[in-house]
Amino acid sequence: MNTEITIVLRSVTHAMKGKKLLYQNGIRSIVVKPSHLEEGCGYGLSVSASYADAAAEILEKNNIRIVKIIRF
Amino acid sequence: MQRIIYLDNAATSFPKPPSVIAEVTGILRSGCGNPGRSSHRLSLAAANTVYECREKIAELFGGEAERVVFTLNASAALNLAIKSTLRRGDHVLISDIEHNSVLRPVATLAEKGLISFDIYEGFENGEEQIKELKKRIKPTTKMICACHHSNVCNFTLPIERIGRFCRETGLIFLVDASQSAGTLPINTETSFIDLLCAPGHKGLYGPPGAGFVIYGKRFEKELPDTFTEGGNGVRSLSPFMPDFLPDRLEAGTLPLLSIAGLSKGIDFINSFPPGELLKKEKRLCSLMQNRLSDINGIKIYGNKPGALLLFSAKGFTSEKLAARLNDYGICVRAGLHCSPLAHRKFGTPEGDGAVRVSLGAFNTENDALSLSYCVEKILRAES
Repeated sequence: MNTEITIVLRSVTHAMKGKKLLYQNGIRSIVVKPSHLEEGCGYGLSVSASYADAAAEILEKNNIRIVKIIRF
Repeated sequence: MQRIIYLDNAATSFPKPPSVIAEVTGILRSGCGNPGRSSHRLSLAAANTVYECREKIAELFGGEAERVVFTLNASAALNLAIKSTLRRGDHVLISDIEHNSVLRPVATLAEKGLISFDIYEGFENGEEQIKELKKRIKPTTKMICACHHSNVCNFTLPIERIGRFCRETGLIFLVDASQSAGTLPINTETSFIDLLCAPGHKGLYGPPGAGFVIYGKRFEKELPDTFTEGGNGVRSLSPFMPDFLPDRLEAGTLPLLSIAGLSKGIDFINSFPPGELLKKEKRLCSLMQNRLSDINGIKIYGNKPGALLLFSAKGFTSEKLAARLNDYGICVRAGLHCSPLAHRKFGTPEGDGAVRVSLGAFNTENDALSLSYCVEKILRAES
């Protein structure tokens, strides 16, 4: 089983903001460009699956809209 | 080689701080990816540079990083802010010190019959200003534009007071901070500014090529119209621009080098205690005012010390005097400074304008004394 998930965000700006917020909260993430998004190009954050819920909560609390979460 | 004395910082600041030059040349040398396009390291590094700059702008002026929209300069920022938020039938009030970057887009929209506009008298005193605005306001008024600090004279509009008035009346408040960003304190939140427009290459000490608009919180709901459409690496399958900021209003490749340099320029500004740069500019301005006012035939417009000094000389057109100063290596700007409204208000010779000296962080007392000395020498030689 893959240990990483991808939180798809609206754009690279939101991904950069999200990455910084997660880092401030002790969660490491990598900005990625996921493929096969319904609307075409976009960016997201790759996070360890064990932090998926915590990361999503932090992002939502800070008004960073999550487009979807891709679990492998 | 003749030494250059650069006194045209209101057009663009020069020299740029060494950290700005190092950043720009460093990116050119080490790799210059396209921000927000790819997943390779150079593109992501570029996106991070751009994002950091958005954050610094938001920290300096208030607001959220994602509501900082980059443009190519302040004129583009003002056009975007005006044209993305006004709708058919709206009425706009602009001040009598506005630059052509506000007057022309508004006048063009009015000529097309899309909007109407009036010019209000600008006052430095808040109470007088509000009294004037109350007289000019109409039921269809949607926006008030205020040039924070004139690019011609040391004249500042009371933006905190106008902002409060706009918030109370529900109007959009647009501030042109082209001459004040980096010099005067500005807070979009406490001054209720809905649209703050500024260039990166003047008081923020970045290279030319980047400007920005900070959109207020209200535009998260009142979605601004797009102004330029195109690729931006987001939702590529849709024929339309995204419905969120900043991506909705940023089409095409961003000016990475200018944004990266601006980021370092903001660090440079932040390295000084608040108000210190202006204090120095005021001291140099007073020195020049005192020296020039002793010279026969010199007329100074406005006697408030600040970053600017506007004057004319009897027997000289402004361009002729600027050209003579250039012979001595002194760079100033003559003419109307793209602000015919302000020149009319301050009473410079019709059609000719005046000579503007504009100070920056790197000017010295010697620069101020050289200017006065050369003006006196030129006048004496030709009288």
